[in-house]
Amino acid sequence: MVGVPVYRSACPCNCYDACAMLTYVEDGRVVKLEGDPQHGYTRGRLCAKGYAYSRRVHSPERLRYPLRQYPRGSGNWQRLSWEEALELIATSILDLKARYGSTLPVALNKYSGNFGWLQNIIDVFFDSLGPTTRAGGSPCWSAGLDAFYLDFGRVTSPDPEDLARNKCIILWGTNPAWTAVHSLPFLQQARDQGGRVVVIDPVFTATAKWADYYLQIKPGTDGALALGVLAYLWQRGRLDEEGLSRYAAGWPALRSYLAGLSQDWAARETGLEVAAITELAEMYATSRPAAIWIGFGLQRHTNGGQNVRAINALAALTGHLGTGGGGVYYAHLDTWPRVGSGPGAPGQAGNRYLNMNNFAAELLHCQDPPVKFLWVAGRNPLTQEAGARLLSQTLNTLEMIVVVDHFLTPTARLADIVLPAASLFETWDIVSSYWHRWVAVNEPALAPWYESWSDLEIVAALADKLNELSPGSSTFPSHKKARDWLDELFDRRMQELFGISCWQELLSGPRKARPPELPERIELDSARAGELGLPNLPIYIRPASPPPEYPLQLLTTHQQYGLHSQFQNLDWLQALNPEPVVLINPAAARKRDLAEGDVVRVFNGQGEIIARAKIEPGVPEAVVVAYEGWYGRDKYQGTRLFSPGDYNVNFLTSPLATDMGILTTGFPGCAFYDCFVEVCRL
Amino acid sequence: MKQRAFALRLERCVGCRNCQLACKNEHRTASRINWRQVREGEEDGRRYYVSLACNHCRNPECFRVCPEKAYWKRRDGLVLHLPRRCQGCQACVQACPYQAPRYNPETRQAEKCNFCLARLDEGLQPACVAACPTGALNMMTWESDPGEAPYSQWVAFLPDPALTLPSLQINRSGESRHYWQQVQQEEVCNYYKITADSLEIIQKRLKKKDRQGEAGRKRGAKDGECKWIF
Repeated sequence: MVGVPVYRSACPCNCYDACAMLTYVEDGRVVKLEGDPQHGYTRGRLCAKGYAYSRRVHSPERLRYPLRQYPRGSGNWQRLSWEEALELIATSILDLKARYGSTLPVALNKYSGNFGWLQNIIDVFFDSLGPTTRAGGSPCWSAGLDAFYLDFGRVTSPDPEDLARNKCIILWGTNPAWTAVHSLPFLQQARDQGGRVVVIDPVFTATAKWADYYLQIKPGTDGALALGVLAYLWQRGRLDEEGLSRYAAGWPALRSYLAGLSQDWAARETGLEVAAITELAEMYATSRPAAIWIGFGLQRHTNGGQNVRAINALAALTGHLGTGGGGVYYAHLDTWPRVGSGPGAPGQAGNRYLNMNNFAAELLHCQDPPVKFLWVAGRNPLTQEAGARLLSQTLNTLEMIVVVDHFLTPTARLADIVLPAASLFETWDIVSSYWHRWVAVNEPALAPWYESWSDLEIVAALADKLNELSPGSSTFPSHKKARDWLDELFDRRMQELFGISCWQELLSGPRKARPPELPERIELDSARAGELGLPNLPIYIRPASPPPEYPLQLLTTHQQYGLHSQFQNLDWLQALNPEPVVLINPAAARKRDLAEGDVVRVFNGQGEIIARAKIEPGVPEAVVVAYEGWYGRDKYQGTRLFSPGDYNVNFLTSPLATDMGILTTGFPGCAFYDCFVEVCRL
Repeated sequence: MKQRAFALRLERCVGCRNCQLACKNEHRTASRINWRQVREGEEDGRRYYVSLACNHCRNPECFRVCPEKAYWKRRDGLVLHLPRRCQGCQACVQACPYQAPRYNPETRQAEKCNFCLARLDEGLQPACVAACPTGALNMMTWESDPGEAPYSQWVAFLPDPALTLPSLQINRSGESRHYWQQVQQEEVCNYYKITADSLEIIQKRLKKKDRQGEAGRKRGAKDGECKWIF
């Protein structure tokens, strides 16, 4: 497209790939997006969602003005000016502060809707008010992070571009064909050079269909498979025992545990045949380098962290760590700024942190003073948090809920005040990935959409308003603009990491951080784990088992046409994905007399959802799959089967804690996948 | 003779739909109109994703049936649609075995893939090819008539290529090995608190039901066909 202005953008959503994009603008509209070919990991491509971005930024459903809903939940929305909205919010904060003599009744719940660097400034604003209440922890990756921390003393991951160098790659509980499509060229390159790709997953995913080997295991039994492979190799003298003492602390203790394990045991636990375990063991042990990519899926169980530790032990004891692209891949935070209350940041000393994975119960329990005001930014907890019904009821007890978003999400529909957020195409930002090692800048390509403001502009204006009404109530430096903050965040550490002197150099293209320092030594016998009440050793802990009345395990995995609750409401993607489905095994369906396309009720003690049955032989008999992140906009399907309250997988989940997560994120993660249900025809 | 063609390597396709959405991003088609579409089907117990757009056939049926002569075939083999001639009669939409021309009720005309002509002129690949992360979708040029050779590994759930001689080469290779969950009868019985005997009875009953289902399906002749995923 010659003559059309092109801008540098960066997708800030919670995704492995964090693409650098080129945005073509004509008459104030995004007419096309392309991947930035200078980005060495995304290499000029986007994903199915990214190619639909233009439908998001100009969506007729996108919020245009500040809105007030009165009374709450009535659907009676009234347009406000920014002045009015800020005044209402500031008055509420100051009133609470006066009533309780503290700013602790003011709470912030913010997470991954936007992972741009400047989103951290929202935390800085809340710190400027005094001690406040924060949603802490992470619904995503906590158990795995802790497992890495216990094993290696820090969380780090090799450069995913090095996946291409491996002779054997095990994709363990991850489905990159849907969630990290830019890793596929590297995986394909490895295959083209004779490498083999193995997928281990309870569900026969798109990635599994493509891979060379697929092992279908029971959910949550990953540790048994890893330890079964390890026991097989050790019992046949295939581990280099002399070398082990150099890079594995605590090996003798694990050795006596392995002595008691057998392949038959692992086969029973995982539901695999013995031949599968032998083949995996032989392939993994004889391929060099060999990599394991541990997905976030497998740690969403009550034994998730323990299973990750078992896989780490397998990789370490077979000598795969730090071998030219081999080792374990998970995630890293090397390229993230340290600011606000993000990992590694000091934050405001007196803050009160509530577990965002159990937010409803924690809100109810926290008294003295109770939480009365909630600010939600970059989040849609009502679709994304386990036990969504209870959360909805609990939030309703608050005095004031403010939601900043692009769309009227279920959470926004519960709010008193909804503020329209500027999109990435209207703001400055920098975006890093927790997977690859590039950073990219995002420059404004469009004038603001109607009256939308960036999160930074909103909190700055609110700080001014607070100080106007009650001088000195916020110390936030509201004069600082986006670029000033980026100057500050792109500090010496970042300059050294990326080898540039200022972030403006990113305007000529994305930059890659220097290679990570990878651990070569593992702590098998972790005293720190013992202190936390966990086994010291990466032994196998059995997963939660189903109660007799709810025999099916519900896996609420990520969908193809959405990222959590984003993107799935766009017309291009809804045309492909018009209504929610539940995947069920043919045998399980027969037993319940269900046929393809039946509308079914999925239920348990927590609640129920309605969806269309899709008979899928790739799902084990004791498992059903329903995708997370749907929020019930369904106008593209002609007849209306579902109302917005009918489908939300988190009506069924409960806020069950994973075994780990406290060390790295402050709270345990959420065992979303230990959810048991029954299915019947509606 | 020169013919531009698409080439698919099915074993590389993961069904990510990058091609399909990249096409929309490039051509801004209406939400329900896809010039390129990834279809899913089964053959010999193996599932394949097949990304299809206009095949710019050597023997294009759209070209033959159009009463307005709104189709033409270029010297490089591309079959192009001329909107100024199209009256929206949908003869092409009915005739194309691959459903490449789509009727747009807003413009009241047919429309279809043009092989990203504008991009070709800039020396770029079509948007769909450029977006493919695994090299499953490629473009090629046949300098001489390849005959039936591009169809030697054709998938059975697609229409017979002999009809229109599509400019689409399909290759597939490689085998993958799958280890499935062992059927665990005991556990199934535990779940339902029933004995193995009664399970057998239930299974027999279900099998009967299945046969009835099969008969029904044969009459409707729907289920045996490929699953088109839109």
